[in-house]
Amino acid sequence: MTRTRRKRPVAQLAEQMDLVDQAVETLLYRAVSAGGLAALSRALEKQVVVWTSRADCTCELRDPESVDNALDMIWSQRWYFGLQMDEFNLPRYLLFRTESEGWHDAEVSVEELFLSPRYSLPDERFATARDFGGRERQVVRLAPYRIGALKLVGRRNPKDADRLLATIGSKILLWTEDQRVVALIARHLGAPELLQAVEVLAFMKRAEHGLLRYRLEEQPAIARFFQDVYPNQALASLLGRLNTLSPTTLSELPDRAEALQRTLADALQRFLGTKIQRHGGIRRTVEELVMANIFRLEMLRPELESSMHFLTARDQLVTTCRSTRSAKG
Amino acid sequence: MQQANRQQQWRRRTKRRRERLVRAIRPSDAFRPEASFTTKVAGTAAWKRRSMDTQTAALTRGGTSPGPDFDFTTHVDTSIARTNYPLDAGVEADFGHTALTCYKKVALISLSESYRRKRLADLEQSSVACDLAIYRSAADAVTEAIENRLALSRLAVFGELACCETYRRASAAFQVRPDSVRQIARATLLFGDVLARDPEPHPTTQLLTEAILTASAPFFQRLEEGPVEGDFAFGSEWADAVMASIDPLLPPPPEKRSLTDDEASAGYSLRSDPIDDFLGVQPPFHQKRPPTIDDSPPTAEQLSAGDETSAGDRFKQEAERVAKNLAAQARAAGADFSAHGTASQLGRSEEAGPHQGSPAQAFLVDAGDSSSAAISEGFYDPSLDSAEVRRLAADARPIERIVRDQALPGRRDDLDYLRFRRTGPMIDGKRIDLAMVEDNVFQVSRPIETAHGAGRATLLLLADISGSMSEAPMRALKAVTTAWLRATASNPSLQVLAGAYNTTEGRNRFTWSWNRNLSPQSRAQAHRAVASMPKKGDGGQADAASIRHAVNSAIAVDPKASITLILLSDCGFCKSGSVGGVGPDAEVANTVQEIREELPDRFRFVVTALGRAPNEPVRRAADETVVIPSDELGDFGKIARHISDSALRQVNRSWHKEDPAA
Repeated sequence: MTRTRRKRPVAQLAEQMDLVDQAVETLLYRAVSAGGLAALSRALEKQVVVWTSRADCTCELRDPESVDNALDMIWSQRWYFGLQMDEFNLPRYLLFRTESEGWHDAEVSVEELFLSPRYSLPDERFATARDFGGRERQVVRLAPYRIGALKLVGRRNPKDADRLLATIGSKILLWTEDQRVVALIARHLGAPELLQAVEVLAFMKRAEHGLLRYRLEEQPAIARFFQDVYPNQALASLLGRLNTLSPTTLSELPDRAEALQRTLADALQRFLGTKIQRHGGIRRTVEELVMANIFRLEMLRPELESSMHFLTARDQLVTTCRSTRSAKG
Repeated sequence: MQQANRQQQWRRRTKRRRERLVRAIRPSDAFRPEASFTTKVAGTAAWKRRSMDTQTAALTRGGTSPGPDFDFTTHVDTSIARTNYPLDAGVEADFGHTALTCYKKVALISLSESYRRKRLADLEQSSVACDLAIYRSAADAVTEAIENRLALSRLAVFGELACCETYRRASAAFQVRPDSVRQIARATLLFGDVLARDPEPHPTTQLLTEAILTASAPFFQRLEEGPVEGDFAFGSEWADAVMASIDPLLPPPPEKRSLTDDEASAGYSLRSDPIDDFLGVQPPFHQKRPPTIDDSPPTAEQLSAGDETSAGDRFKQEAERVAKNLAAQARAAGADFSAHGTASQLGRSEEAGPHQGSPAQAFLVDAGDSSSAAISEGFYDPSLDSAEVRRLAADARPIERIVRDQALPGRRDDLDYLRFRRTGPMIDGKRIDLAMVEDNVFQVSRPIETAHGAGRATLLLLADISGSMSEAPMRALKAVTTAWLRATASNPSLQVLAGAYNTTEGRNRFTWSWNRNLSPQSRAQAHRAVASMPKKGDGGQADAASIRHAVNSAIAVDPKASITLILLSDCGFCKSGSVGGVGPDAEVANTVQEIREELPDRFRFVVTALGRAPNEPVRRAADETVVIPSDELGDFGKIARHISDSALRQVNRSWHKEDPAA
């Protein structure tokens, strides 16, 4: 979080969130004192101005509805804020902006002005957007790759970066919530190839390949994004070759993906069925351990990696993922 | 041949594509945010089917069957499906929780209760290293966790209830860092075999966790091998092993509000410690803390431990103390003492016997002769005995048919005549010509229900279940109550309350079959609570005080209510107060008269006498009296005719007569 004041509708709000977060961190990690509690109280109660196109709205962080209301008044951009209460009932915030290609396309989070380090994202690929009415929905979160996107399109063209991320989020990286377990295993149990393979298969199965061919000609940065910013070489090479594939080959991509998916699913099943010996000689499968610790897989990893059975199974899974990626064409 | 092959190939490919595009509907689709409306509707139907199947399977494993009247919506849980847990697994976990709740309802192992009674009594004699109260509390937590673990393991071996294991894993995922002995025991015994280890726990937490895990390892192994025969013996053995392992680690008896040096050095803390110097600097929230000894609220047994007086005696003392305070306040204000119309909540106590549900509330009410009586209140749980519910519904059917057809008390039914409708389905082109000459051709009517001008209609069904009510009057009483409850279930504008009263073990008890503020079941299933009423009455009764309390409760539900009180009794009334010179019938009549004065034009009193007619004072006080002879109590058709012929029509007539708008 940058502390500099920027000409943004929500700049003051982000600064205030930062102040609250500092006060909370003092209480959590340094010491609890009457002064610290008073500072937190002051930060929560302070009136914050959100600049909208019609009038300046004021809100307070202690009243989340007022913040929702103020953000809803910004018509030129779509800003959302996430609020979570931790185990000590202390707040943590996320303030982000979304963009979508067309009115019918999914929204993609393209910029995060504030993210508390303690904010819990069960699946880092998604952020929760809450409307003024209180309805929540998951949006694809590509804001962490904004800096890379700006490097590709030039720092003077932030709107192009927004468009690039919106295209990638809605047309190419076809992330769904059903892939959550796979994504968490890939991220926390040391098998990033698994998520890459799943992304390639999802693209082969569900993307509108014919339309994307024209889009790739217009936006060459899309293919470069997967080489430089979000490394997925298999997807990058597939996008690079999309224009050269014949219509017949294109139409056969979903069937090809179906066969590869079966192979990958078998490998994943074998990996999840691996039995790990635990305290007192109890044996549990990786699947049982993963589902029972889905929100703290990083705590599980050291224990799993101390088992030879797990390491062997993971190597086999990674090998299958690599062969799946390379067999895409 | 080649063309046939091509066609076959094309068909195969088309089939594969269709399968890819249209996947099967799953129960989780009901909760999927991005699902279309149609998918959600189909998903909801699939979810309902699966939920019913799961509950049926769990009840069957518990040794009963749900039956046609079983409410499949009572125990359903959808909380995990609405969290961040993966959706499909979350929905499965909710099914598992639902199955566990159903199973425990009908086949409760009660390990904790049995263990406490049988084993702890022996242990008190033997040498326990730690403080006995702490030992008891820890044993409660341990046995409760083992009980749940055994129930889950027993259910999960059946294919249709494998969701119970999914529920256990999902619960483990939501387990936060345990910070008390109770939580450590629960987390380790329920999920210890699958839970990731905290890399930096507090040393005491680690010691306790390791001890419980080591003691439980053979039992985890045994559970993994298959279903366990003899749950109680297995659970007791497990609890013994765990308690023996943690006994040396628990602290010896603590001093008042402070820890001994040994305990402090072992890292224990008391949660109830006052923070005297909070203005000073305290350690940060996130610092690792030692586990607290106990974070559970004290049970009634613990509260009464060391106190020689019984709970009933303490209740009476408390009632007297409050009554004295009220009198003192009234005297200070220069008025005569009367607890008239007050419903002072005295406290909470665990109830037993005919009272189900807990905790119950206790009230001090006026007995009608300037003395007061204490009444403790509870409610009947819905009955799971489907055969009894079915039988009751069959008994009530003829009465229900009669009361359903009647206009309800406190309401006026009018017909709105509609003629010559030019829009809507009433137009019939072939008959328009006829309509010009014949008035009644197009005349249609629709019933209009309007509330009585005096306030919202409230029907108060009050049942006397004292010892004089034998089996036949009780059956008739339950049938009449059920009939009213079922007949009015679909009418949201009519408020209905149903309760029963008697006096047992020296305490006046008032038990609700249906009260929207207390009853756990839905209104449509209120009659299931009536099935939980006893087959025969028991004890004495305090009629006047109970009538007063019932009316107070109805006023509390709706202060502007027009109340029709239907008293179902054998009319052998008993006294509530202790003032001499007033008989029980006169006491009831006085109470009714007081209520009438308090609620002018808003109170009707109907006595349904089961067996014998009421005496003169009560008959005079009642607006209507329905007498059902004792030889007709088993004939529900005749009961229906009695009710139909006298009470309802007259009640309606009296309402209509006094309605200024009529």
